[in-house]
Amino acid sequence: MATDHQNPASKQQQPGTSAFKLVIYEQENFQGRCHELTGPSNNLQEAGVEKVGSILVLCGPWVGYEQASCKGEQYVFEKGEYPRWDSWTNSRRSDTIVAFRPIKVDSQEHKIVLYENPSFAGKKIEIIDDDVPSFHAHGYQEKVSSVRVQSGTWVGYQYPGYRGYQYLFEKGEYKDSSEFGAQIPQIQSFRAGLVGDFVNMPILCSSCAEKRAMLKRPKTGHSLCKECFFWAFEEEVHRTILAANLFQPGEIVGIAASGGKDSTVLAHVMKLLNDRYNYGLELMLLSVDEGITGYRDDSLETVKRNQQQYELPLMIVSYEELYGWTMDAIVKQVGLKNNCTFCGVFRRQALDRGAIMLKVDKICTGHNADDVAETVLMNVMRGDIARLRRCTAISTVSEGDGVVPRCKPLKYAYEKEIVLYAYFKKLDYFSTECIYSPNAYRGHARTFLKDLESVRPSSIMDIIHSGENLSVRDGVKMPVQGTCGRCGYISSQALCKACVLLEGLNRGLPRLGIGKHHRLHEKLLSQQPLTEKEERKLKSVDF
Amino acid sequence: MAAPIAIHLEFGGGAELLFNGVKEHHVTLPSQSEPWDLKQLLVWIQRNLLKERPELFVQGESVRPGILVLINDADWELMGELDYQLQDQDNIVFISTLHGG
Ligand SMILES: [Zn+2]
Ligand SMILES: [Zn+2]
Repeated sequence: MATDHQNPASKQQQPGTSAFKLVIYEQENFQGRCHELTGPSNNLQEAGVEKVGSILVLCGPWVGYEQASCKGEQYVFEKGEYPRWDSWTNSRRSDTIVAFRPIKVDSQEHKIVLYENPSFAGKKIEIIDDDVPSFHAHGYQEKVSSVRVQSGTWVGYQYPGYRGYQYLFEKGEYKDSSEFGAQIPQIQSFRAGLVGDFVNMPILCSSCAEKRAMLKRPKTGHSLCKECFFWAFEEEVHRTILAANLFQPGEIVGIAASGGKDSTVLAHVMKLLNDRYNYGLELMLLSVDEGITGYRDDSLETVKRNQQQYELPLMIVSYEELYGWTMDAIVKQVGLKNNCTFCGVFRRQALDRGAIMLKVDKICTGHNADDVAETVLMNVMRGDIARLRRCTAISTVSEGDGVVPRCKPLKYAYEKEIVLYAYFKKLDYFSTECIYSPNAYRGHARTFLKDLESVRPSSIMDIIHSGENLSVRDGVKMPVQGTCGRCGYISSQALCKACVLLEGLNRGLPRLGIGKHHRLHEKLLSQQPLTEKEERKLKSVDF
Repeated sequence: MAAPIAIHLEFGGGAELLFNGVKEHHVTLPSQSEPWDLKQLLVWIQRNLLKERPELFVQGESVRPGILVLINDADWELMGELDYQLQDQDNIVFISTLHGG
């Protein structure tokens, strides 16, 4: 395959990548036409390579052959530059290379047995893990007629000091010298174990330098083993909690638990840190049952298992108890278009009401860095200045009697890390989409964010940082927060959103809470009947 | 010719929904002239396993951003991503991060 690479050397080869890559230049010193190989080629001429003048190995090792179909003299190439034929051979018999193949190197151990005579007979010598510059030192004569490679990949040389013809030995048996491509059974030096730049060469953890790295952290770019990752992840949450002073000893903290990945990891880490650092918190799980058959009932089973695993008390508040409506019943009345509005508004209040019943001091939620960045983007796109200003705050203060302060201990944790933490720890979480909002996570903001992250992982942190540092100019009108005339919950209108939605449901006027009907709030509050015209506008379900 | 290889595929975190809800698949990739790499595996999955909404699984020639890939339990970012050459008995896991909270 001929490709036009201006300067392949500038292509950064990541450690541990699996791609074999070699570039052939038709002239010496990396001049002339070039051809890139990523796999074996039995006949370079057929592939359009006229001559091999110089070679750049980006990821190896490789073996080149003097003749087509991997025959004739062999030349072993490791990662590096080969500007002229004499840099890959000193046998001077031939300066042509017609075939190439990558060499698989997958063993950490190297053991080879050499026999004087064919068919593994005669005097033998065993070499383990060592280069042998000359067999004379081992008291062995130069004749090698058959070879058994038990592990590793080896290169034998005709003369001492790794000179002369080269013979590649891979795991397996070579019954006589023709099987390893030699015309005369003479090998006088041996190199153990070619080192691969590639595939299955594990990358070591950059923290402990002992264990194999299992993930690349999007936040830092570090490659860590499982244990070092767990520690780093937990310590970062701990530092977030300390830096923002999220909790005080003795507080009762409700963990909003949906059974999903974020809240499952949050519950696990909160419990662990509370024990590790003696926060002195009384933790409990707080769940909302929206009344969605086949979705929430299943995810609540996960929460119940979590409760047992973490030995935390669990409180479930249901829409049915609080509002007299399940989401199933609401969807029956309003259809599938605005049902998420109802659900979101009701859930926010439900958590607060549950928290008050449990006498919880604070609620913590599983919002992660991706969620916060997404919210920043959404609020920018909607021009929602009030929310934009609030949404990056790690905690809210109590805004009124019915509202419990909330915080987001995972605010700086990347979604990727949360998912991998759950996966590596084998945490039990529920990941089915809500049946009423199969598209809820397909929002453009999320897709946009994920695309950005794949190009530059720090984008997520950068967006949060931007949101945190925005300041709103004096004089920008902000909604004034008051309380709901009916239930006392915070509201910038006479009636809170939940009460308006509920009123709409109960009166059979589902559109009431969708869109702006503020001027009707006074009427609703004082239980006045609506005019026929007002009713007609609010009745249709086709929104 | 590279011999056929048997591998184990796992879809999780909601990605299984695109595969009829089936999380685990034992598959054999047919023999072909070059070794199988992950890029080719994605094409194979699309043609042979993916049941619906392919745009939720693949984007261009890679997986859709937000789907994590683990090769024998290690982050594919450490393994060469699309260029990783599959070995017999490899275990490849795809986890969606896009579902639920
Ligand atoms: Zn480590
Ligand atoms: Zn209210």
